[in-house]
Amino acid sequence: MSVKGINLSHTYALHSIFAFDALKDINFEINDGEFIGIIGHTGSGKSTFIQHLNRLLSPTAGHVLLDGVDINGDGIMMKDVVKKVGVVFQYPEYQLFEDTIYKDIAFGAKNMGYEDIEGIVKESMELVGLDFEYYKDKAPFNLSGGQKRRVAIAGVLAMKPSVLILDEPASGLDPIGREEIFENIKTLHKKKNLTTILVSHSMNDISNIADRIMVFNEGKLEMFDETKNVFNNIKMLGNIGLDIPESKKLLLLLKERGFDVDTDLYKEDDVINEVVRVLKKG
Amino acid sequence: MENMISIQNVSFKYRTGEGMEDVLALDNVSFDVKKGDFVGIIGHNGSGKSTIAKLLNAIYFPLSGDVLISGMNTKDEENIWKIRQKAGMIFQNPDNQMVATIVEEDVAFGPENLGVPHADLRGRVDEALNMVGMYEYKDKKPHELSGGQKQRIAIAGILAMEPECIILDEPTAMLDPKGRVEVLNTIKRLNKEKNTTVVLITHYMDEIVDCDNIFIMNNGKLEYDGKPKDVFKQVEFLRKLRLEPPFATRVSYEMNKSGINIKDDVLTIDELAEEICQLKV
Ligand SMILES: Nc1ncnc2c1ncn2[C@@H]1O[C@H](COP(=O)(O)OP(=O)(O)OP(=O)(O)O)[C@@H](O)[C@H]1O
Ligand SMILES: Nc1ncnc2c1ncn2[C@@H]1O[C@H](COP(=O)(O)OP(=O)(O)OP(=O)(O)O)[C@@H](O)[C@H]1O
Ligand SMILES: [Mg+2]
Ligand SMILES: [Mg+2]
Repeated sequence: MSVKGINLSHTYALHSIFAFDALKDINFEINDGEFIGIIGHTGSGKSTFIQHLNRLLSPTAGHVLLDGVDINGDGIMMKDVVKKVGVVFQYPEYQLFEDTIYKDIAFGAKNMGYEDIEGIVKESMELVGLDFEYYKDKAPFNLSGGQKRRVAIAGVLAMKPSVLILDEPASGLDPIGREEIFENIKTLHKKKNLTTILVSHSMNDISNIADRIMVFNEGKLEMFDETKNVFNNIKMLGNIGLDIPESKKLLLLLKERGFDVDTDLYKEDDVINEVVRVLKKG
Repeated sequence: MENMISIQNVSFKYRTGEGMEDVLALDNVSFDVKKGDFVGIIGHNGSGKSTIAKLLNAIYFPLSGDVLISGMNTKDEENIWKIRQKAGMIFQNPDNQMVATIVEEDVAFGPENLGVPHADLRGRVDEALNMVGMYEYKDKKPHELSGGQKQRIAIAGILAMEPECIILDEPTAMLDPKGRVEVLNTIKRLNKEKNTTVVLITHYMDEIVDCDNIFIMNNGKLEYDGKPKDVFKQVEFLRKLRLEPPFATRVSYEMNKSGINIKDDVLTIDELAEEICQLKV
């Protein structure tokens, strides 16, 4: 499913002295099946932006189109949008409210009217690495921070969205948990041609997974380009409180010291291979 | 040197309700943190890190064993207030600790309760807000802040209390790269200049590469403790515990695996680049 924005703006507390422009005239087009990364300093408008994609917020000017249809247009129901666009919010642990993990994950899927809820819940729990039998009857609020996060992600996956949006899904996960969740998201993305949007402050995570990156700065879409090109804008990123991945920094350090490495690379595995290749060549 | 924190044979269980099994969250854990040290606590999700933090702050009490803060046992009720004054705590989730309706009141809440005189309050609050780069937001309402902004305010609230010891439970989880560096530098500066004892719970290994000691939790037990250089080079051991060493250490590990001999305890990419240069000659 494609996602498009035309002159999208959002002002909080519009028509008051507290009015605050959180999004300023954003134009973008995300193609069906793309993997998009979103980066931006704290308060740059990322969370505000993604809330527009499932209509939790409505633009104060401009439009959001899903497969060419304006989601705020006449006759479009909130429910139609929610069915297509699944969002895992920042701090999703607050979205947990049922008394068992099973019920919590099943909640959205039930509302969608799906059959075989148990099968769906099982599959979703597997995708986030939660053992079905062990966890299904436990209470969500008795979990550790990282465990809660997995439950919240499973609940959104169970709704089988066509566009999956994740706002810092891995924050709070242990390092292997991070890897696993990204592996799973990547697999899901490929298997179902799921349009996926990932918001993260981790340049490492974004660089390992995104095809293209949106860079937000003070409510504006500063840049929207292929991952490689974005991370070649080192100065710009630094100026707006962002950074480049460690992996690429290593290549730059080696280049400075006279090694003939390809500094366009940024994925961790590629970088490790490149370092080994250059050193073996001698 | 004097111990800021001493955890002695501590076990802790969560009661989860009727008919449900209790969760043994800490299983006979013992360790000490010396005054002025900067230590890291790492471990898989659910390994017991936050539970330790809450025991240190006298929010929970050990089922068996003792927790001492500057020699004061958290079990003695008359100590609780003094303990919270000495050991400031930044929780895993900043929303849980926003108490006031205006940002600067929120930051003032802690020091005010400590009895900081009004004349000094203003200065402390402003300084703390500046340290986390949030001074301009002092009149905002907490619910109008972004995730990372809330986190910075929570940190400012503790800094304003000027505690002898700060316990931070994943404080940088929602911060942008610049914010992470700033917050970490602030903590490191307090540690160096004011000799503040720091306990940093984190899933980001690069935040603790230069700390004094690392404690690794695994299923409620203290699995290992040691200096960063000794801990992180044990790549396979860490992975069994669901942990990953910093990127630079991983690179050197892979280099060694493919037959390039290089030091296995490099922790930063600068160090790694230097080592690689040594190889060239
Ligand atoms: N309900 C609100 N009312 C007024 N201002 C708000 C509200 N929510 C957010 N803002 C402001 O809008 C701006 C953008 O916030 P947003 O949450 O979209 O940022 P973000 O990029 O997601 O940041 P972070 O990385 O910290 O999560 C911030 O300056 C914030 O203070
Ligand atoms: N309120 C609670 N009631 C019951 N069990 C709990 C409660 N809080 C935590 N637990 C359990 O205690 C164990 C330790 O939890 P703790 O929160 O200390 O882990 P943690 O190491 O901080 O994990 P994370 O990295 O996910 O934050 C876990 O198995 C968790 O499920
Ligand atoms: Mg946000
Ligand atoms: Mg925790």
